[in-house]
Amino acid sequence: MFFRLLSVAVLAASLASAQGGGRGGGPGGGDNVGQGPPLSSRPGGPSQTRMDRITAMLTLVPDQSKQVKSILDDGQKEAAPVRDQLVAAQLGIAEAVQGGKSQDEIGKAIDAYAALDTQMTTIELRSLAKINQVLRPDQQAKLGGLFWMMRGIFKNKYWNDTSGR
Amino acid sequence: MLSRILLIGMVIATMAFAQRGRRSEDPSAPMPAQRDNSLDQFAGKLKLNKEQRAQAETIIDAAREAAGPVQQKLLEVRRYLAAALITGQSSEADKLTKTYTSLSAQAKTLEANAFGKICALLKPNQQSKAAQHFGLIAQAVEQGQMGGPPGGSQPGQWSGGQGGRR
Repeated sequence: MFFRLLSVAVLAASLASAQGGGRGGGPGGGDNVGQGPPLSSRPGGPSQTRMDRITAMLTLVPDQSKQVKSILDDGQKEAAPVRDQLVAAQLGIAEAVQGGKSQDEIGKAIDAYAALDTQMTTIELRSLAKINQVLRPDQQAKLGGLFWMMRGIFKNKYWNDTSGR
Repeated sequence: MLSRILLIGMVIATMAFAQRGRRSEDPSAPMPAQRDNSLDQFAGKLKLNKEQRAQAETIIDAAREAAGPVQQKLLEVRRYLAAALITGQSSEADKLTKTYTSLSAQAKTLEANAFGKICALLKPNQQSKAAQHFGLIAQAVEQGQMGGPPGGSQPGQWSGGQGGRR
């Protein structure tokens, strides 16, 4: 328990300092350009993958990179059906509104969407928690950047596309 | 138990601190021009005229203002949920997911209302294309508060934003 407390304390303290530097990610889709290390330290520029950015941000060693990638690949698989349902649910809301459906029907469509949205959020944050487990305390201190990066990470077909977004 | 509460408190406190730092300093924070990007895309796809564009902007601005407090709460709950999952507080996480769902529905309701008002401005030929681009309206509302994914949402994607919602 002591070690757990210590590691979270370090995480908390360094979250603050890392983010205070202003290069943490943003809630803008969880994948804005400000999430990784300074631009000058980003090898490869725009062709950098998201995994490259996570590796640099958390200073992962190869074995940790492999584990993180595996966690995110699993998250993507879990998220895939939810993602498709979210697209359909959003369209369902729009069609209900545009089609002049009753408030009750629109409300049901919105509730369905909200449930899926929560499911997706939970998948994202569970992946974050799993990644936290493979980090050293000094790396956990940088988890704040990844917290922002996780939002919407599974919104596309593959989280680790070459755009690095 | 006290230690667990302490842990969660610390994680949440620092994530909150992190957010303040980001909002003031992060170069990725959306600029007004970026915020309008989704609305511009919507306007382009539906070929809105100037008057329709201006009216849509007014509707979006009002929705943004109304959605602000809900989006802030969503972000807060997302932080708490992350902390609960990291520290293995499963019962707390269950409660938070329920709260999150309720807030998500509230936010989506505001977006749907804005969409309905914008649809009322459209000509029949524009209306036929509106539903597939609802995500852009949702994103325009969200970006006013919390930023949104760069480049805006694409057809076939759900909207991003809301500090945790998409």
